[in-house]
Amino acid sequence: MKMTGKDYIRIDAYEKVTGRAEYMGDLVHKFPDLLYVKGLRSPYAHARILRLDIQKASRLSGVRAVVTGENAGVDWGKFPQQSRMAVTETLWAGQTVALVAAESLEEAKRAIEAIEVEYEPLEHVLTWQESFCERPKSVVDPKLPIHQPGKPMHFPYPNVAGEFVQQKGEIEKGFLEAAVTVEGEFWTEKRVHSQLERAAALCAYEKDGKFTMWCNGCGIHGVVKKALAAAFPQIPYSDIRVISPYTGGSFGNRNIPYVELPCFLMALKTKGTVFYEFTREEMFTAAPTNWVCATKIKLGADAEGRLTAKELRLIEELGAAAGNEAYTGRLSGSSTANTYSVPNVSFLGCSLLTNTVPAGPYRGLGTPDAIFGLELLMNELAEKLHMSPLEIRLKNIILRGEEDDYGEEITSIGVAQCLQQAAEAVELSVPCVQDGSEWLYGKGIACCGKQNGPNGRSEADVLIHHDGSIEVRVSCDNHGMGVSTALVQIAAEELSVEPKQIRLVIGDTDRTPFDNFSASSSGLYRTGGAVRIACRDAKRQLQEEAARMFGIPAELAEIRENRVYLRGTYVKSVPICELFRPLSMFEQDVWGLKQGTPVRGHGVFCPAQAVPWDEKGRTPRMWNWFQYAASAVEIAVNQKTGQIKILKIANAGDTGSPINPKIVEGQLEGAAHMALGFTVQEQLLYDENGKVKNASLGDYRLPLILDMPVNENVKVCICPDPLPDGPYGAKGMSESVVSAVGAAVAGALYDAAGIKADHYPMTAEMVLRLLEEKKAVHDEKERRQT
Amino acid sequence: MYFERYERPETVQEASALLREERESRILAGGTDLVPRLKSGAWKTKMVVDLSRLEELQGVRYTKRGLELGAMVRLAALQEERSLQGAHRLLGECAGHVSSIQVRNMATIGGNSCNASPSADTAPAMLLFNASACIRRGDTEYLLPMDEFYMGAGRTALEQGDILLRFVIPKQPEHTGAAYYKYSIRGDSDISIVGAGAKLVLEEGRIQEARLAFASVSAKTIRIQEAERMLLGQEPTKELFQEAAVLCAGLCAPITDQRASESYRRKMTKVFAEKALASAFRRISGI
Repeated sequence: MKMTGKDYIRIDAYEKVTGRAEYMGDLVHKFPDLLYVKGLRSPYAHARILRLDIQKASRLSGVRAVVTGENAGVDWGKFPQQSRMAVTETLWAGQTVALVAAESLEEAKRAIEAIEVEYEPLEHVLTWQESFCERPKSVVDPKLPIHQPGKPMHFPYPNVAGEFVQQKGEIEKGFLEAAVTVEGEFWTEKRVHSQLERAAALCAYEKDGKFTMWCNGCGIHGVVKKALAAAFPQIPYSDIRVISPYTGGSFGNRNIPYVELPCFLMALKTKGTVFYEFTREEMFTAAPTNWVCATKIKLGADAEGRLTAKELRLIEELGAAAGNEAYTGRLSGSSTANTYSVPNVSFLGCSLLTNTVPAGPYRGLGTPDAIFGLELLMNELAEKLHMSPLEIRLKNIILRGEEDDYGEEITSIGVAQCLQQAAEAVELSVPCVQDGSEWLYGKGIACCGKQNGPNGRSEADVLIHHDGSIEVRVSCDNHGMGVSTALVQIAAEELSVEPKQIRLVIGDTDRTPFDNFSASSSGLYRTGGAVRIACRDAKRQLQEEAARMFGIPAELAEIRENRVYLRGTYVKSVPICELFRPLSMFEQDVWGLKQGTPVRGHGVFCPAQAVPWDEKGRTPRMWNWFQYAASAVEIAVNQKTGQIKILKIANAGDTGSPINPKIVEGQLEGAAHMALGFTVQEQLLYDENGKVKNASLGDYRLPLILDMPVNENVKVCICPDPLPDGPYGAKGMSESVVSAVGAAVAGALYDAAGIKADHYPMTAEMVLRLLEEKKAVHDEKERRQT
Repeated sequence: MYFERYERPETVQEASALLREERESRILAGGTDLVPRLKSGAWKTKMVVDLSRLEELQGVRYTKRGLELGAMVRLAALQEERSLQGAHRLLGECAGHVSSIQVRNMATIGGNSCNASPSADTAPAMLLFNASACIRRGDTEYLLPMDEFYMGAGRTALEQGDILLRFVIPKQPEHTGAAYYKYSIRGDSDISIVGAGAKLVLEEGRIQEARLAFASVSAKTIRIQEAERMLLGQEPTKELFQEAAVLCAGLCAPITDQRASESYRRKMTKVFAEKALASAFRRISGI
């Protein structure tokens, strides 16, 4: 029975469309004695706290606790940066200065207003341009470990937090062999994930002294519970229970438990049940953003268009991620290393701090930002060599079995197919017709790859009950991407039953087995792997029982369609439910399968670990596998206003073999919309104090549905190259598919108007400026000629 | 959202008395500006006076004074209003440009003016048509030209206790054309970068009356009278409209904010003033 590769209806569809699905906001009404938490936030990007007086606030009616960085009684070093409260100094505007728990939200707000703070504003740096220098106005973290005396740095700047170097071949030789070279500098801006459901946590201090937390954070075991246990070492690990209700999106934002930890702290302080939910404004000012990438790239190619050399400098701007050594520019840089085969490579990356909210992963982990310039330079090479952007890409992509820049073998790569299908969908080879209006028309294409780290561990339990019902228990994240349905399909395929026979139990650390988190597009791959193993474990137990009952070797029993098929005995098959014997109250010696005690299969899956890289940054195993995508667009650019209109978009993804193609198509469409938003119009803006000044959905220009091309002009293509070690050939897909859109739009902008974008978002103002600059150059030329 | 009293008076007299009795009171019309501000704490008030029961503030009708437009007419209703005549239809168009359908279903034409946002999409039409506000102050009613009604961002000529009853919009001459362009990044749901309105009255091939009104390029909705005067008595041509648009761009007073920079707003003022003039001209009947 084939249950994967099919458009099975989402298992959560009915609950969601009927409004029965419960989210964080629905839980609030179940706790009559709920306390509400509210944070006081720094209005300055960088300031010293001279005086902080909570006396008045503490005495207000309904106030149960007022906590400051000083009196919290915790080690802030054990908290993720985004959840650290300021003690003597604030490092970003929006950092928590005090927390209040009160009997109503109104009382909590009043208490916040009654807290008296005196700040001494200090100099701040908000952008990579301000921070990446020898003498920045503000040094965000003076104690960075990388700045040890005698330790040579490539960028000896005080706000540089980490570095990564990679070398392959000989870069000078590569450029000598080049017939043409191109180079450029590119960067991107800050954006927010804008998931529909705001960050929220509800923590109950139970009668027996244990804690139960409901939250919409990722990784209930591997992130939330682990972080709580680390930050509050006095609480025994098993006294913490974390439950995930239905959640409304994350896109990387909820990989950091920035609301869970303060919520737990307030439950501990009040010994009550507390609820902490960010406002939409706080989602802009106090929740992690993406990190910005700035790149300086030089490419060389021979006369046939084959890349000979790639030199890349990359800055990853992380905000005020003080004390974090995990970031070195390597994560964003990895996306520039896996798509094109280049014999000579020199990569130098670094991470950089500023006085903005500490960044977190944003769908793509820096891929859209890092590859933007690389993809635009591929277009420039093509132009110089009189090739098409499609042709030059196809000529240089890595083939299955070849190596990436790290030196590891690529086992699944469908990017060529993605490129071809995306190009076809917008008829890339047919030039746009200009109609003489104020609109100019153009087409563009780009592609990309995104790595998946071999980190984490997923477990699954599969219970087969005597009545034939099947339960799958997992703890992977379920933010709406559709993994829950795909896991049910995987179990259905393994057990050869209809998906509707399977019930998925998900997201409760007391009941569902361990899972790290589903980051890096790995939910399906990793948890799916565990479900398969668990199903096989359960099947094996049934086979063994059948073998015992009928006196045959276990391998002669086959489980499918709710029956055991037997060979070598007088019975051809029996229903599985008949393997379970009734169990009476006084029966003795009750071994074997009994009614009421399900067969319990357990599966653990973790990818093989990476091998440490050598001094050249190379290793035979670093990233596990890669997802690929290509996007092509047709756009119109208004010569008078600079506005870009997207007329057509084709988004093609190498998703491995899709378990549920319909859900994958939905992801491809959603990704196109999201990426068009952040590459064309979304951007965080800061005022003179470093505070976000467009902190609302009114002023932050998240695209609306009417900003998108009509449905028939949004084309999606699934181009699978099956992943050998993925469940039924599947791999993750949701990050690569947002990553090539920006470069495709910029390519189309050049095709339409002959202007080159060096950063995004490509707002109307920016495009108009480029158009004016081009006109000025043109006018100047004409003036000289006459 | 906290306030001590909520009142829903049945008569204008009662409403006026309530508003004068409690100085810390706010009027609830459609609520699309009031409620978010009360919720966020930007505004605090002791009493909310709901005007939804006041018949006198409803209705769209033509009288000898012209079009009388009740302050409590919802924007969605105005957008669909079929009795609007000639160039007055622009009022319905402008109402349709305000925000989203959900907001227009609640928001009122009076509220859009009283809120006095510099970006209000219905305000330029009021100036184009030389509308007046009919205001109840104490026990008397008086008419105030809309030119004098808008005083600044969030400021109007209304005093505490005043109630805007209706707009009186004069009938427009036969050969009148009027148009309004809202330029924003995300369509009507977004707040405009510039809103440009133009009205032209033509007689014997020459411009007899011209009005140019703009949203979002000054602290209040403004007219650019120098450009209007420049158009008077002229034959309408593309070049003339361009010249007028350049004047508008030079004379408006935009700021840089999270939606656009000052210089971009000026450039867009030129682009959309020209478009509005051209469109107003095309709309003049019989030409």
